[in-house]
Amino acid sequence: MKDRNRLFDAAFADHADELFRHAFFRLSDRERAVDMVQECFLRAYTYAKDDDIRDMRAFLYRTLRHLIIDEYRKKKSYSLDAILENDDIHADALLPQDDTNTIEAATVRLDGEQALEKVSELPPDYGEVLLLRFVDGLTPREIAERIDVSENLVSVRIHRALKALRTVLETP
Amino acid sequence: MNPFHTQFHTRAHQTGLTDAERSRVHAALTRAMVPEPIPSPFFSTSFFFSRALIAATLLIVITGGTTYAAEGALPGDLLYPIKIGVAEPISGTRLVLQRLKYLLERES
Repeated sequence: MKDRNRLFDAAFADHADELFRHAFFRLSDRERAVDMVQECFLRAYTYAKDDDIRDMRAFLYRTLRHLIIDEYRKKKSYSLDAILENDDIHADALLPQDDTNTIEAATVRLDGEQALEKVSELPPDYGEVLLLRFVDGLTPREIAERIDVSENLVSVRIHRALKALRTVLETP
Repeated sequence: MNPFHTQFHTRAHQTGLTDAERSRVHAALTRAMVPEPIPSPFFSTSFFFSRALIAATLLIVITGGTTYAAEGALPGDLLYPIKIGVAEPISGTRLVLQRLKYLLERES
C-alpha cells in the first residue's frame, strides 16, 4: 500500500499538469477540467491493477478519456460531425498509409494559438487526436495504441481535425 | 516543426494547474489513499519470518498427518515402523499421564 501511495504521489507530480491541459483544451472549462483531473486520479487510485500501474501515464490518460467521453455524452451534440461526414468506418480507404505531407501542408496555414482555443469546438474524436499529436507529441502509432484504433485511422482523424479547425477558424 | 506546431505546443504548455488547484486535487487524492498499516510489534511479516512460519506449519502438518495415518498400520506396512517408533510411545505416554492424574485425584 505504501508503494502504491508513493507511485500515485509521483504520478500526480509528473502528470497532473498534462492531464489538466488535455481536459482543459477539450472542455474549455477550467473548473470542470480541474474536477476531472481530480476524479481521474481518484478513479485510477481505486481501480488500477498492477499492469495498469506499470504504464501509469497511459492508464491515467485512458481514465481521463473515459471521463471526457462521459462528459460529452451528458452535454454536447456535434453538427460538425455531419458537416465533415465523419465516416471513420471507411476512412482507412480514403487516405494513403502515410499522409504526413498532407497534414504538414494543412497546418502551415493555421494560427496555432487561435487553433488551440477552438479545439473544444471540434467533435471529441478530433480534439483528442490533435491534443495527443501536437501537445503531448505522440506519434500516430502511439496515439493508435492509446485510443485503441488503427494507426491509419489516427492519421485520417488528424487530417480531418485540421480541416475542421480551419472551418471553425474561418467561420465568423 | 512548422509555426503551427510551435504555437500550438507552446501555448498549450503555458497552461497548467495553479498552486491552489494543485493543492486541492492533491489533498483529495491524499484523503482517498489507504493509510499505510502500522507494523505490529508482535508479528513480523518479514521475508525470513514468513518463510519460517510456512516451513514450521508444513512440518507440523506432515508429521502429524503421518503419525495419525500410521495408527492403523500393520506389520509389513510402510508406516508400521512409525507406528512402533512414534505413534505408540506417544499414545503410551498419554495413558501413563492419565493414570497418574487418576491416582492423584484418588489420593486427594
